[in-house]
Parts: sequence; C-alpha cells; structure tokens
Amino acid sequence: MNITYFNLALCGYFLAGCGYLIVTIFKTQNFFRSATIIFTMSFVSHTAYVFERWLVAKRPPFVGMYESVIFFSWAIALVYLLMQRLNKARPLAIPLSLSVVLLLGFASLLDSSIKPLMPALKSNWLIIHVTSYFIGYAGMAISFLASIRYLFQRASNSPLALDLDSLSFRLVAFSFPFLTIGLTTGSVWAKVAWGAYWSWDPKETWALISWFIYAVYLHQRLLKNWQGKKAACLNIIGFLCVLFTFFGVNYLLKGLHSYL
Amino acid sequence: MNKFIDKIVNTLSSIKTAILLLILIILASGIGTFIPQGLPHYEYLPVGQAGIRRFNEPAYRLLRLFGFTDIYHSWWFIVLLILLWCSIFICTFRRLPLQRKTFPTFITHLGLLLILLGALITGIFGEKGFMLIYEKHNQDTYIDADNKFKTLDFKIYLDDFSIDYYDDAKEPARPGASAGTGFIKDFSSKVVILKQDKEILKETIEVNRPLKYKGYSFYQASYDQDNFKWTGLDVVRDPGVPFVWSGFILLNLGVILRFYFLPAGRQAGRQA
Repeated sequence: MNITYFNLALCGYFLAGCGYLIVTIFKTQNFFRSATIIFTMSFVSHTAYVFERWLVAKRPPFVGMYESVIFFSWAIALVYLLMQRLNKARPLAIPLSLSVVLLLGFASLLDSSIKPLMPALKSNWLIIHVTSYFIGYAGMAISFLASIRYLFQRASNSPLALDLDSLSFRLVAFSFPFLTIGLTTGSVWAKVAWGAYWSWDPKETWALISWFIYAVYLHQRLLKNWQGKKAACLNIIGFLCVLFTFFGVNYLLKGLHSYL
Repeated sequence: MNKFIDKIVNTLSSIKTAILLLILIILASGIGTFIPQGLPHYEYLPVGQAGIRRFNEPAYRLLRLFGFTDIYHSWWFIVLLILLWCSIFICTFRRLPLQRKTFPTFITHLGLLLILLGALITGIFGEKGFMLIYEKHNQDTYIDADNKFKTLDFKIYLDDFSIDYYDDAKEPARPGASAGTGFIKDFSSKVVILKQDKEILKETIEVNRPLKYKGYSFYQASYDQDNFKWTGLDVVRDPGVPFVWSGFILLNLGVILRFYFLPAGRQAGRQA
C-alpha cells in the first residue's frame, strides 16, 4: 500500500508544529497563518491516505489498531481545524501538532497490513459507531490538552488561563453527544451481532466508565460551578479513562473487542 | 415513618448522592474488568487457564464471598443501580420542570430511566440459550444459561449451512494475496420455520442478520468446525429491548438538543 500521503502528512504536521513553535519563540503572529496552511495541507494529505486505504481494502478503514490510530489522529486534526475556523485554537496549536505527529509516528510502528473484515464487523453500524466515537475521542483529546496546559498556568485568572478553562469545557460539551451516539450505536450493534445489548465486556465497561466521568464533569461544571483546577483534574481523569478504553483494554485485558 | 421516608427522598434528590452512586458503580465496574468474572472455581486457582489472573484458595473465597467473581450480578451492584435509578427519578421530577429550557435535560434523564428499566426487565424476564441444529434436521429445543432444556412451540429446520471464504482470486482478503489465506468472509444458515409441519417462514441467518420470530431472536454464533454438519445459534428473548431502544433515542435526542441547540446563555461553566 502506497504510503506517500501518510509520509507527506507526517512531515507536514511536523513542519506546521515547527512553524507554530517559531511563532511562539519569535512572537511573529503573522507566521501563524502560514503554519496553519501547512497544517491544512497535511490534513488534506492525511484525508487522501484514509480514503486510499478505504479503496484498496474495499471496506471502511476501521479495522485493527493501525487504522484506528490513523483515523483517530485524522479526527483530531479535523476538530482542530474546525476550531481554527472559529478562531479558538491558538493556545493549543503546538501541543496539538505534536500530538498528531506522535500518533502518526506510533502508527508507523504498528502492523499496517490490511486485515480482512470478519463477519461480525460486516455491518452498516460500523461506520456510524466508529466515526462518532473517534470524533468524540478527538474532541476529548483536545480538551485534555487544554486542561493540561491550564494546570501549567501560574495565574488562574489570566486571559490565557480563562480561555483554556472555557475551551476545555466547550470541547467536552461538543464531544459528549458523540460519545453518547457511539456508546448507544455500539450497544444496538452488539444486539444485532451477538444477541445482547450489553455484556459487561471490558471495552464496553470502560467506555461506559468514561461516559459516566464526563457526565459527572458536566454536572459539576453546570450545577456546582466547578471551574479551574478541579474541573481540569476531572477532565484529565476522564481522558485517561478514554485512553484506557482505546488502548488499555486491547493490550492489557481480554474480551470480545480483542480484534480491534 | 413519614419523616424517615422524607429523609431518604431528600438524600436521593441531591446531586451529591447521585455522583457518589456513580463513583461506586464506576469503581465496581472497573474492578470487574480486572478480575475474571463468572468463571468456574478452578479457573481462578494457580492451575487454571494460562493468562488468567490467579489467586490462592483463601483469596478466591474472599473475593467470591463479597461477590467480586460475579460483580455485575451481585446483589449490592444491582442495589447500586436501583438506587441510581431512584436518584435520577427523584432529581428529574423534582428539579426539572417541563419547560422549553429544561426539556432537553428532562428527556436525557427520562432516557436514562428507560434504559435502566429495560435492563431490569431483561434481567428478570430475559431468556438466553444455545441451539444446535444438524443439517437437514429439525430442532425445537435449546439449552439455557442454567443448563436447562427449553422447548419452543415451533421447529426450525436447517436446510443448508455454508461458509464463504475470501476467494483470493476474485476478492482478496488482503490486497495482493495470491494463495488461499483461508479467512472467513461470512457463515450462514438457511432455515425454515415449521409449525405443525407447515412452512411458516424461510430465512438465511448470518452474523449481523439474526432471525426474529415470535419474540425470539436467533443469532448465527458458531458451527461444526470439524465436519460442517451443524450450526450453532444463540437464542434470545428479551422483552426489555424496546425500553432500552426508546431510552437510547431519548438520551441521544436530549444530549444533542442540550449541547447543540440550547441558546448560548445556558452554556455555563465559564469563569466569570
């Protein structure tokens, strides 16, 4: 499988990250736009790679860890670019570019062979379940970066800190419905494929735990006026659960989802 | 007595209680993914299967005593879920007046109530089992989770069982594969439903396409790997499903309305 688009994307994101770094170090704000253009071009290449894989494999590229990481990083870049359109993403440009580069780098170490689609995965539910989850995960990942960066701020009421705090909440609010759609479509699909809408499989269980934690986060934010440090910590815990759901379950536990 | 009930209702109507319950459920669920669940006793001991966490006898007994070897069916876990249901119920009907502004949140919680109710119905009234049918034979009996035989009032006749492999010549399992990789593309059972020897229904059961008849669902689960003479179907009858599905619809509608369509003023959580 031709990985030109992959390489272009990886290099491009890295260049964009360097560009953002230059903007920060030399305070050349004008360069920010150029760096974002490079990022956008990398995203186009990344998109081309995803579609090329879809065509070559003759099925949606959602099978196995390699394809999942490629699609996850794609979703992160997508949500970031959407935020850029709304002028909200400046403080996260560097950590986000770095994260995407790291994810693609990690992917390049994985088995990239095209795996056949098992009977259990042959379903229309595959697309909506996986897509909603990865967009949701992407939003939560960026929210996580915002919360981490927030915790590094010295003043909790500087404009940057307030921006990061607000950003982290709004990203969770944006992503939560996607997690909900992912969780419920997964359950419906499980019924169609395996006869039960819930089996307390480790993947299902940890997905539910992650969903609960973000539900608690939203309640605390909206009803108990949680802000700043407390909210940031809970947000981080939530994303750690997402990471465990995504990677931990596959590598550390056994279950029905073991082919992901 | 009334004061006592009032006290309980008041405790349950607090968000703090709901969150405490959620945290306990989260902890219990999480632990259940690290300790093997529902296995026969010997699997937990050092001479059990490779790869499964093992305990010595006293540790195993202790875990089992407190329900940790079958957490999701233990009485205290179910009590936690019931308390959560009550908490959501009381909070919803006490604190969420049915207005335009609170409508999305209201139906979100209503959805959750329906889902949990459906789960309870599944737990109490659901039936699950396994049915094996030999090719060109009838079957009307399945074996349930307690190893009891249950008979249906109709028969299923297996006309044909087939497995499709990825034909690497025409449609490779992997692009570029030349020799037979042997990956299974699909396996299916052509069946006929018979009632008093009358043909009622003809269907093909595949993975992801179960057969539904009279409240029962039949899922293509397994097959005779040695001689391909029989097909294994999972049999399920679950009256809780419609509640869970309605709950899902309300839940999704609620979160989408709440976070995408509510006016900006309600998007609190911002520092002043």
